[in-house]
Amino acid sequence: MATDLVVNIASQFLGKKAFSDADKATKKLTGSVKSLGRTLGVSLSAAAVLAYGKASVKAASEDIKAQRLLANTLKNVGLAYAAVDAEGFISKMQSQTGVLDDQLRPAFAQLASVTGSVAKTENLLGLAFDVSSGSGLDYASTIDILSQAYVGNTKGLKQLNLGLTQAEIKAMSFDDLIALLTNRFAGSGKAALDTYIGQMSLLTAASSNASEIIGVSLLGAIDSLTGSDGIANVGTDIENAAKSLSNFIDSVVYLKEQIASIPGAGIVKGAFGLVGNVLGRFSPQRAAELLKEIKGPQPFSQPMTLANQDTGRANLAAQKAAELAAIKRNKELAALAKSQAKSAAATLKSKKEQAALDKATAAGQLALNKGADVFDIEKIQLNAALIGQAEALSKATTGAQILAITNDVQRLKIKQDMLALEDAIASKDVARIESATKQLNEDLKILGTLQSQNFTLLGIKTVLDNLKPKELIDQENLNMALDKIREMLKLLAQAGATPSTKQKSGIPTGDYVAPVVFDPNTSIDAVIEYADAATERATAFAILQEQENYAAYLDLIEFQRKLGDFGGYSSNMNSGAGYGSGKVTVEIIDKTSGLIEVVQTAVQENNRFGNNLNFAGAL
Amino acid sequence: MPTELEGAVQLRVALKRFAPDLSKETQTEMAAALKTVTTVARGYVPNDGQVLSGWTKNLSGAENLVYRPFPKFNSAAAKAGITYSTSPSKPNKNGFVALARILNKSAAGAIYETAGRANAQGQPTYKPASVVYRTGDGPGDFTIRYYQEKDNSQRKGFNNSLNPNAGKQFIDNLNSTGQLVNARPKGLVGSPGRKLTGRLIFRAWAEDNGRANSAVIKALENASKMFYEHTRRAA
Repeated sequence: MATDLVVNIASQFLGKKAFSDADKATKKLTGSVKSLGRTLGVSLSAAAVLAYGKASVKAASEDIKAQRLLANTLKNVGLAYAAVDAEGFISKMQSQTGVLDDQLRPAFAQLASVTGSVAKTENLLGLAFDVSSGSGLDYASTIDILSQAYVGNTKGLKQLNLGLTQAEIKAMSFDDLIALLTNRFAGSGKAALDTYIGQMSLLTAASSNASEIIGVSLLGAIDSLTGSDGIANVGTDIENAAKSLSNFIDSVVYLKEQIASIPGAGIVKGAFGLVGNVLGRFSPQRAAELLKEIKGPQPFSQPMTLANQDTGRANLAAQKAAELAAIKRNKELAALAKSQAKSAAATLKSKKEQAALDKATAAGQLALNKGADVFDIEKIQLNAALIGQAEALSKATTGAQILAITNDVQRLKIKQDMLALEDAIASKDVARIESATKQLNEDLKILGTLQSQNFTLLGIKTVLDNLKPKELIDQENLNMALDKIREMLKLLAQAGATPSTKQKSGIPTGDYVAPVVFDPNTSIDAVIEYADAATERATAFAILQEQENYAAYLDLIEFQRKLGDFGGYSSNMNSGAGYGSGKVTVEIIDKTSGLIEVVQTAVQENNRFGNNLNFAGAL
Repeated sequence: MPTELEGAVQLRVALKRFAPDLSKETQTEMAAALKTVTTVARGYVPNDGQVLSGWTKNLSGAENLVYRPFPKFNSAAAKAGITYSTSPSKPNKNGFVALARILNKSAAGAIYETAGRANAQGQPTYKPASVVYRTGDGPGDFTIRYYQEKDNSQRKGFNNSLNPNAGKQFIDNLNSTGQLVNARPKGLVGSPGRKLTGRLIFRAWAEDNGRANSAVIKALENASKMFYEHTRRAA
């Protein structure tokens, strides 16, 4: 951490570390290629032959060691009978796949330990090659993954990018996994071998194998040469022999080239090939075969002794027992895997249900929060009271009141929905929670609509009330007017008023100028005459009307004079108590003594009960 | 962003081999320039009494812990951790070698230097997922409970204290003793990051206004000239 806290001053670029790494890697690769070239080259120097011989001996000794380790492992897991077959399989697989036996033997031992079956091990080794080639993982890691998967640990399969979740992989049996891997990586190994790198690996495997074979021969030679003198004394002889062999190889190559340069050398070349083949036939293997032919046919590879018969039977029995044990173990593992798969599936289902419950709960919680925002207990109580009042008004409510009541009912419904949702959450029933949440949301929407509608309707109602025309005369007004008239008549009767006896106009009731229907032949003069007559008559009536009005006015004045002063002038209006002739009497009643007694009693009682009205004092 | 000098490393090697006196003189000259910055930076280290008291107290039974506890603050140790170096560093991942450096080596000093530059309000509190539980039969009898994937697990990047404001209180206290200052020179292209922000060496470097930087470069240039003269006369 502290190394980050640096102020760097005046730097210099020396090149990236990656460049030097790449340089080193290139040099190493060049060295490897040269080494391979030297190994495979035709012109081997004496030193190279000697070094190759040493390396071969080392490789052979390590190979023998690995063989014995594998045999020991197989023996320990009860598969001792399969050691020879295992070596044969490994050798064959090495030549076919280019995977060195140095890797194959530990892999075989590992899988045999886990599966307990040779057949299963061989199948998995083949599958591992395909998987390794297809996934890009190295062979040993792939073997690790498969052996772990066999015992139910599927964690490593994630590296193979199978496109499945860990839970899904865990839910699969090993056989299903093998089928999946076989299907997914089928042909990958063959495709990889067809590439240049694949061919090179095959070549490397062959070279390594050859080295080991030569090493084994050299070890045999050393063993035969050593005798009682020890290895140290034969070193010089081996070096000399190696030098001679090198010279011999160089000479043969030189001879071959020279022969090829001679015209018509085809026949000679063929002869040389024949010589090569003849030489090849005298390899140790061929020599052994020839020796066997010379000795004659042998009925059995092993001498017919009782001990060998027992060994053969024991091997057969061991093989049978091992296979049965492997099958048993496989069945147990399959049962375990099935149980684990069931458990994993149950866990997956539980997780999914929990996730759904959490989701529904979260949605419900959100809706509850919304409902809680809207819900107000005081408001509900107030509105309930309003509903009661509205009912008490015997349904005689306005539109606004109905709207308010509807709002309150909707709020109560939301409260019911909230309680229902709480119950649903408590029951952990996802469908019920979702249903209750949906219902609550729907009712909340309705309430929101009602609330916004409320303002609109109230506004419209206010406008309508303003626009509504007032009735000038209705039944009530008429009744009130009639009552007033009756009251006035009653007053008039009390005042002793009598109807006017003055002379009337004399115009008979219903008298008027009758309308005339003019025909087309009527003259203009006749019309004018009729109009003048009607006008005169109307004027007369108007004059009479004015006279009647005047008389009525005089009657009214007289009537007021009889009733008293109604605001007009009177001779004694400024005397006495003002208007009218009434008398005002002011009587003062002295009740102060009673008030004092009340005050005194109150003070005494306060003092008695400790309520001192006096100032208590101060420091 | 340090100034790039081509051939400076080779010059230092050549000086050491062929003109050791000149090499020592150059190092002394560079050290004098850097020392002014480290002296100022040490002055910004607060006393033990200025930081939160809990940060200075030793944890009882710390020797039995299987993990490394939060480093305790010690003013003297923090001051001693502020040093400089005039020898070239190892190349970084981009291949650059620093010819001189100012370092804040102590853990507590580094915390004081950088606390709050990534999260000014302290690290956020981990918020686990919540579940609503029914607690009774009555209306509203429910509560929200939080569950964690791993109980009592220490989460990197989150406030793991029981006090949700622990980070903020810690940083506020540090800010009361010294503010975070960005040492990136003005006028450079691009937005300033937080890498060069701090309360001690970065603050002192920013307040130095490049004088120490110029002095180091000048010392190297002088050494180069003198070495050139030296070799020319020798030839």
